[in-house]
Amino acid sequence: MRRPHSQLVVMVKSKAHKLKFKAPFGTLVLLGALSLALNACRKDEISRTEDTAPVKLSIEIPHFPEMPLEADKFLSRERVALGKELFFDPILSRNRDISCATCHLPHLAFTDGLPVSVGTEGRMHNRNSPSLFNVAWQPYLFMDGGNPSLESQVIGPIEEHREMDLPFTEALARVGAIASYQEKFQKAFNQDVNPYSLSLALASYERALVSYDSPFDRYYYQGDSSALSESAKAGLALFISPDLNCVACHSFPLTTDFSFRNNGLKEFYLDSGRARVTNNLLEHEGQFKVATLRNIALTAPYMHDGSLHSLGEVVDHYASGGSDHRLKDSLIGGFSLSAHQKQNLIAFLEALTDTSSYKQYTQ
Amino acid sequence: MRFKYFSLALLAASLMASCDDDDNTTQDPPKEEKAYVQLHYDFNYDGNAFALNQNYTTDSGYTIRYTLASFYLSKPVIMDDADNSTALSPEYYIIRPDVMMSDMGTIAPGHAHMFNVSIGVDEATNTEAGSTGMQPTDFTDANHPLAPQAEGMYWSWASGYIFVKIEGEVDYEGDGTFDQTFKYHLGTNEFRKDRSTMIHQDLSDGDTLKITMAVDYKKFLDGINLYDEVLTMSMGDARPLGFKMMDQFDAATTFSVGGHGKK
Repeated sequence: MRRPHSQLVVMVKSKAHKLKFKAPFGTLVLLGALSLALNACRKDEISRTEDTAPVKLSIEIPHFPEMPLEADKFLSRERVALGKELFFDPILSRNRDISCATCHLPHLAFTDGLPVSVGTEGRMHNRNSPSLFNVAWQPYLFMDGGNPSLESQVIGPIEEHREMDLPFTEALARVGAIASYQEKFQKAFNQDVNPYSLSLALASYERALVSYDSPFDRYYYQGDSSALSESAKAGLALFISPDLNCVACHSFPLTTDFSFRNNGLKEFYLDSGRARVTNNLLEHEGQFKVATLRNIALTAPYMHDGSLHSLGEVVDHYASGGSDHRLKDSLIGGFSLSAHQKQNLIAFLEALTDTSSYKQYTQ
Repeated sequence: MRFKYFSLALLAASLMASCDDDDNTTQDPPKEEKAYVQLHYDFNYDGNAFALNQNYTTDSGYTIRYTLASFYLSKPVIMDDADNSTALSPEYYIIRPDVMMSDMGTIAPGHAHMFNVSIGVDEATNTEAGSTGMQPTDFTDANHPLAPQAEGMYWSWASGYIFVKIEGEVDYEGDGTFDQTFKYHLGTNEFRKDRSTMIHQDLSDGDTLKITMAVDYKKFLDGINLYDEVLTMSMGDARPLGFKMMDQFDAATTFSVGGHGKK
């Protein structure tokens, strides 16, 4: 019987609401046979290949777009596990005092609960820590979109003075000096620790941080009418209504369209946002990438500088219409809500919380 | 019978010819004629030897010292009289004050008319937001010039290589205490400087074409206000200063034929 898949598939079943692992080994058998044919007298190498070849892992979520992934950057259990170990390892900070997880805590949907992040030696950043859930679908990284790939993004927090403050070359040396890491890199990549493999390990873990099973998902995509409370259903209606039109930017299913917009948060921007990258203050000042709303109830405080402390304050901001900044987006025009409607809208936002992901990544 | 002898003779001849063929394959191929290209470096401070962490005096009487002075060179090319170009190899170089010379491969003997090289990283390779060039994390070889460098020659947050990275300190009063740092991190595609140098040399097989790149780090700071013009990452409000400092670096740099740089 022909087995069509060569990879371990993490199939997210719409109705079962669980990750289901399926492991076809057909291609491994085929590869083994091919090796046997080509190297009939080198049984020791064949055995090693079968033992160490990483099994591909793909993540398919029926109501999400296909995860964009270059062929050589495929996920595997070994790569994700190695990336996770590095993510929580303070070895990547100059003083070995913080790790990636310091600012991206699993139980806070990979944020840190602070207005702006605090790096090594207590150094203050100027931006709020973003959630890493579903970061695999981000076409560009950072709030100003300054980086095009999860791999090269890794250099940023590791080298940034206000974050981990470690030259990437030193990170390579530190990790490479640990035998157990070297062994895991060989298993995951068949390579030593190098710029490509170290960054891809971390990126692989980040790509595996998916959040797709909130009450909203179960109601909206899986037809479970009981998944949302009546209040949340009313909030959803407001969210997509022409009057509020939140969905214009926070489009489903990822709850962001990844556009850069000035949402009128400030009259004057200390952080120039997108203009920092484009050097075009005239047209891009104060524009930031639209943030995902998935797990938003876990990720307070809000906005690029963490200046809004609760979902209530966020709703109030948009209802007010924001500042008079010359570049404020035309969609930010203000609206009026009763106290009851505001509660409903917040109930809907809270229904974007995916606690199954929370449990999975805090284990 | 005659045919039988003829066949045997033919077979014997074939076998002998086969041996001849084997012998022929062991002969060395014709020697490729080539000339070598070297770029020598002469880093100086107003003609004096330049080194990091060494004190120098500016025209304003300040004591300064450089703590970092690294830059990229990319895509060196030799042109002949007919505008044919020979790309030199390797294509990328990370240059620090302790680098004395770069071997830039070989070219065919003949007339070398011009030497072209870019200070910075070429546009196709320098990934800026939205483009598809190279990034340090693309490299499995940590020793590649475009792989991560100890001094950080890449802006992850702006996804581009830093073409020139110069840092140092200023002691205004000459009392031995450095009062101010200066940091010039210069990059993005608009900052690249494409330089051409007339060579006009006829090269024979085995010759070495030596070119010297000189950088005068005093000239780099000529006319710079070391109170105010001390910091730029080439972005935002400090971008004009970035352009200015890249022009300063370009003006402080000369290329000449000959290997009279530091050896």
